[in-house]
Amino acid sequence: MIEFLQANMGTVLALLGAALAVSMAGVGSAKGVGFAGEAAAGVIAEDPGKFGKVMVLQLLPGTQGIYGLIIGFITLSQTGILGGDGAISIAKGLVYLCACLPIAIAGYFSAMSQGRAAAAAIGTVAKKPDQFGKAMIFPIMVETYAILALLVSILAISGAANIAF
Amino acid sequence: MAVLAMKRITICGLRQDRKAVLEEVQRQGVIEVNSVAPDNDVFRRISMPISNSEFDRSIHDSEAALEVLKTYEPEKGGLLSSFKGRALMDVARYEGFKSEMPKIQSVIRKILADSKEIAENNAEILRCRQQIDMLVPWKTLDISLDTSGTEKTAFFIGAVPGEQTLDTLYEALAEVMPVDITIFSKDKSQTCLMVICGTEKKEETSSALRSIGFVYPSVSSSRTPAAQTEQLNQSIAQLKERNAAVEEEIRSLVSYREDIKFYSDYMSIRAEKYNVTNSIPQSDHTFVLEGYIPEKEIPRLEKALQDFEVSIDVSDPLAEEDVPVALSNNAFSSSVQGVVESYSLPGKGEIDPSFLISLFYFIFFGFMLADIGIGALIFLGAGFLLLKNPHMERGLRNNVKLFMFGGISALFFGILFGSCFGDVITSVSTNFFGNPVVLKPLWLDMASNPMIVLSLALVMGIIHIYVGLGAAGYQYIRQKDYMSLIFKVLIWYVLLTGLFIKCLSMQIIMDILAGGSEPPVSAKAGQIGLIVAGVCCIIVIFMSEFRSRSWPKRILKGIYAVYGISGYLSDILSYSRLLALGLATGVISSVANMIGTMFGNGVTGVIIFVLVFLIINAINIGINTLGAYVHTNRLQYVEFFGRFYEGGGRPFEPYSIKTKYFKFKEN
Repeated sequence: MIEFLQANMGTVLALLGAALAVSMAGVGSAKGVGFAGEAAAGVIAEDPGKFGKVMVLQLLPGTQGIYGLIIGFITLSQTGILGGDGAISIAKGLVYLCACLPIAIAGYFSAMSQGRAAAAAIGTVAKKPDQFGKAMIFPIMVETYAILALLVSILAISGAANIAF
Repeated sequence: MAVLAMKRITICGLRQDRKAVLEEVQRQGVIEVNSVAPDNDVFRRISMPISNSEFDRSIHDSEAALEVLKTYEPEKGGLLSSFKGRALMDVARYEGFKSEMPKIQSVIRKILADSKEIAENNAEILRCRQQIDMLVPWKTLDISLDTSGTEKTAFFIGAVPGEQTLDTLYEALAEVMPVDITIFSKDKSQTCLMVICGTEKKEETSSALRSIGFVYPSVSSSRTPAAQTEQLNQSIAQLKERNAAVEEEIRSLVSYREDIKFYSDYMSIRAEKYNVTNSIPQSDHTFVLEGYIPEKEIPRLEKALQDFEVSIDVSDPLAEEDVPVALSNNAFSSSVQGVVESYSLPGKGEIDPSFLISLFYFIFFGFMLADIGIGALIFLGAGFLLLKNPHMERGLRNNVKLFMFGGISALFFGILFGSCFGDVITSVSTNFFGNPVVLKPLWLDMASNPMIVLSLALVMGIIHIYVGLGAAGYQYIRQKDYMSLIFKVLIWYVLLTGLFIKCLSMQIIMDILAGGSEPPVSAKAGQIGLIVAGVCCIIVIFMSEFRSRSWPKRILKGIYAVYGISGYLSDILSYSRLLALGLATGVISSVANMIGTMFGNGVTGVIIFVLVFLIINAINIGINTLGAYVHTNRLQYVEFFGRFYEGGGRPFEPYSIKTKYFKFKEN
């Protein structure tokens, strides 16, 4: 049993990290896009001509899910779970798990908050379509923090590949 | 690259020329009418005999008629027809359009009347159907529902609530016997029945029935229910036939669609003209038109009006006037004009940032996409649209141009970082040909050297912010506010540069960003940089609010201004999104390549690869182009504009030909 754990635990931990990055950021994005989508559908009921604009705003909270996917994918390919001999040490597995956490956590919460900001921006566009440029900026402000988390996750993972243990 | 200089113009002319002059000015479309002089004994505003609501109604009617035509005969037009732009208006036809108007007005009236008739007929069909539904329970009754009896008997035809049987009904009517009860149909909610009694018992039976909730049917007719249903079905058939005929008639009028559009535009042009005519002061023999005009348009207007007896007077607007703003840029910079306009037009004393933005916009856009394949696709797609649609509207054309330039830039950065749909060349050559071909990046691979690319992104941020600060300085120079230039711009250049020199001298920073190489700046120089920055901080504390007279307030505000260093720091870190988004594009494409090559190199493998490649890359292009666009905008709006630009200008809205379907001349 202990032998088995020693041989595989590292891979399991890395996989857990990848799973967290993809699923938490994905759930956050799904909630955010869903929330904005409800507002968008309401606007379209009144004025179908605004479809293009509100759709762009609805999509904004969707990026966190993609950032999660990126981190998950890099983790899977670097740890050898995707096409390789998935054997890494427990310590290295933990490193990968921790590297995944920023985008998992910041992705989840920022996507939800961004969804709310996007819904409010959709409300702005419904009343003043010419203020689209400004309305778009408010949800984008939220996204900055997901991008920072993505950056740290990427740097941590690419750094982890060089650690020798 | 500039905000157009606006002048105030006053055109004074003879009243007999008024119509012709106003039409010419409208055709030139360069004056925003702004008559401020109040009415007096000589000059007053005169309302025209035709009221605005009449124009509005004509326009509204023609739009409604077009809507009807669209319902019955949708306009043909491909997916890309929205890029086409409006057709040119036939000027000769416009001149003589008055003679065509009665015909088109009658067509519009006909279409609207037809559409009304169809709606009414549909309502009538609905009513007939409801009646048929109500007659269903009575279909076996072979006399009229209205029959009240014979000479000796009284009939009660109607319904009682609930599902009743003959037994329960006879029981309920026991005291008025003898009666005859026939049940025609029943369900949970009601039982439809007929009760026959002798005329002498009519009153008692009626009250007994009422006590168990008897009601007469809500439909009535002198025919039997079956005959009535038949009659209603016939009416429905007739109405449908009529509707088909009317629809056919509407379809036969589709050939007038373009004429109706012309009519709508013609009316819009006239409405605009009447609006202006109503708003300008006139005396018995003269009129005065006042407004704003871009300085460069004055000669053109003077030339257009040279045949009229008019006096044209041009002056500078007063300082307190709210002068409208119009931008003018070269072919390259005008592509980002839409980005500036959707933020806000330049306010008083501000420069047009379009040129500065265009210098950075495409670099950031390309950096965030950084892919040869995607960049080439966007470039070709946008270029194709531009070539195919020479009449595209100006705003749309600028936006398409923006993406075309962005595509070129993404292509360039793709070559720099060696990414073409991620690693498609490597994975296809390895999987399907067994012979790995690696696309060598011109500079370096983004994914394996993230820290170097991050440093590049931050350096670009520093340059961007320095340029923004420079723009603020330029604005202060134009306003001759040299104190602000020194204490709000130059001092910050020195302060920030000192800090950066200090950073470059620190081993820890080099460890993070440059893989532990030697600092390029000596420790001593770093020390000096820090001291300079410190001195600058002190100057900022005391001098940044040099207009404030109260020293405690001034120092507190100065300390807050020093806190602005953290603002600069976070703004610069914000440019790290260049790296993050640039990586995202390549990684998603690589995901597609990896999934696609999992199924071997047989025929199925190739088919699956192509499918996966197309689907994931289509999503990738969509979402990352959107991402590159919005995040480039954000870097301009927040980080760049934050340094020097507030906006708040009022857009220039000239008195011109504002049409929906045709345009008068190329813009």
